[in-house]
Amino acid sequence: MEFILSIIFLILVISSTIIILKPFITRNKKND
Amino acid sequence: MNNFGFYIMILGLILSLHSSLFFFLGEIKNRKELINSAKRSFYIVILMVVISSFSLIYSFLANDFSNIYVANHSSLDMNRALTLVAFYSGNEGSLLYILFIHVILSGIMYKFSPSNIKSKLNFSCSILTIITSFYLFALIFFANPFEISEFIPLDGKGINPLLRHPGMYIHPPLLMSGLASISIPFVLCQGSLFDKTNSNNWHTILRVWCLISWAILGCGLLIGAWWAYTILGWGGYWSWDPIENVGLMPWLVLTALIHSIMVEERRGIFRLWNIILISLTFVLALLGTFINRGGPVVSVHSFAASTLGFLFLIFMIVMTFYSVISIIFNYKNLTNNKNKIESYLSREASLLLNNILLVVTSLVILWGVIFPVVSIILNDTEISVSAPYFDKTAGPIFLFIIILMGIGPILSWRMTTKKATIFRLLPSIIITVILGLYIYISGIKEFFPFISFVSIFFVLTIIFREWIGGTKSRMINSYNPIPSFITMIVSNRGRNGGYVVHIAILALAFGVVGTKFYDERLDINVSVSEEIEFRSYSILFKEIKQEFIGDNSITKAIFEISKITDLSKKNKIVAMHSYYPNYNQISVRSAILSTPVEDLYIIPKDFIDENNMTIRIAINPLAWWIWISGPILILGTLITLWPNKTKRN
Repeated sequence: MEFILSIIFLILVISSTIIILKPFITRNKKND
Repeated sequence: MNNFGFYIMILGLILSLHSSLFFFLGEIKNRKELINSAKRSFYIVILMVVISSFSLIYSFLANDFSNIYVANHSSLDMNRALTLVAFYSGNEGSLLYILFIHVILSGIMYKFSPSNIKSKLNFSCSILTIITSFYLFALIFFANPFEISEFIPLDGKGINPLLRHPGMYIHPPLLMSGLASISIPFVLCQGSLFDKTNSNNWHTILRVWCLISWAILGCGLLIGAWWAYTILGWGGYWSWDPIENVGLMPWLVLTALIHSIMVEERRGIFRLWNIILISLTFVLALLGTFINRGGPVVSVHSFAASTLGFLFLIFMIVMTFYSVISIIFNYKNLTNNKNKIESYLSREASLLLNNILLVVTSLVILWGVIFPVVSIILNDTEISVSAPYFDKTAGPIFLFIIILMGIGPILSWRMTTKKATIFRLLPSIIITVILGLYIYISGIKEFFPFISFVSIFFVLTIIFREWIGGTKSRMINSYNPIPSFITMIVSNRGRNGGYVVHIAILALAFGVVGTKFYDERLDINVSVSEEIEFRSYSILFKEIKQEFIGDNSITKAIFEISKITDLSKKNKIVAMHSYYPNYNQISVRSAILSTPVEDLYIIPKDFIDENNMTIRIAINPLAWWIWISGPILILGTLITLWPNKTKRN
């Protein structure tokens, strides 16, 4: 259980980071 | 699960701080990608809070007594239906619940805001996420509901006996939601200060959210009173306890605000006043949370072990300071409207008077709440202020407010002539004088209740006259008054919804005056099979029954009630004592026979032996009207809030 929850937590951290950084990545691509 | 819930809260705090900072920077620097990033974390924070809340619910359902909070607020034999109540029954869980409501309402506000407002909400959302961050910070560092114990108990302590009542499913959540929801109109108001376009679009959304907060808080207070009436077993419903008062104060100021926003919408005046009102409401709501969580004022509602008081005190001071600064910085912008009150006989003048009275009532109550603290500072002795102070100060002001409630809506905007006012009021005055004579002849001769009843009927006749007039004018094409009445109500929902809410307040006042001035009490020892006659009732004490549910023992006293005039019709009512050994506490539930005229209320004071007990019999006239005011209030609010098709298009 603890292991599964750790994985879920990790997924949440990574996906949140990607989601909040995405607006910057999209803008940089447009600039390129 | 506990560690998971805790780390999710930390992730939520980081994202919330990010959202706040990026909303602010995005607005200042006018950079879209910063705002987009902030928006995304704004929504993810909601998800994080939902996940951590469900983690705690899961711990309750799984009886995970390694979690200190779960062990202290539930037990193996606890009815699973009470899980939700257990969730917010303690200091830590209730704070998580407040946060849950705060983020959900924030999300709803942002998602469903009209498009012309949404682009201007960045600053509002920045403050909103600061509040979210504060709650998360308090939860993580000072009131962690996921704290783990080294020793796992075999069974939990169980839920507080007083909370095992249907009212507990609604009263605390509604009251906490009401107090939490006040942050929405507050941040919207703050956002409007920074909108230099001086757009009028803010009024609608502000009024909607003020009404939502107001209705939630009002219902929370009313259901709390109902819970006190039915379960606390002391025979009353409002004790002017500090926590009741700190719920009532923001509600009163919100009432003032809902009215004064109308003036701003219509005439462009009162802008500064409205900002002061919403800031005052928000600070009063924080004061409520401060007192509730270890503040200096003793209350039956306080979480005794809480040390969060100082944290909320700091936050309250910071937010007060911030509100004052924001008002000072925007002073010129807030006072640049050249419109003024043109006549004292106008709608806006009556609304101003209503505002002043409501705020004064609130401040009078506030003085009563903080007086024990002031007396300690000045005299080194604590002097508590009890119910007579509040009754004598707030009571007469409420009466004035009720009278204004009738006169205000019939006055025109800008100005009304004396002649027109008298002409419109005259039929109501005539009807009220006749009714007043009837009331006097029927025995109500004391000054305050007489004036109160007369005022209530006066306002009621004004509302009904308005409705009858409106319905008649729509009956030209139809002979059926019902569809005409409905069309009339729907055609001006704001105004007619307001009238329905006014009727709810009149029903409330009717009940309060009845119970306050005409209640009767009798303390008596009774034996099984004994029949007592009290006023118009014949009360037969049938039997005492003992039941056991788990460790809890319940002693029931069963009474058969009939009217002396009609002995054939019998009603059975049950009063009981429930003893909860885990808490060493007795929960008293009174037996109530309720009718619109009066309530027969039997409090089981003491069970002497198997056949004898002491009871208090009370007659509470018109108490039924207090509780019926709740549904009427909700109906009125719904009519007011129901979206207008043409406006929406």
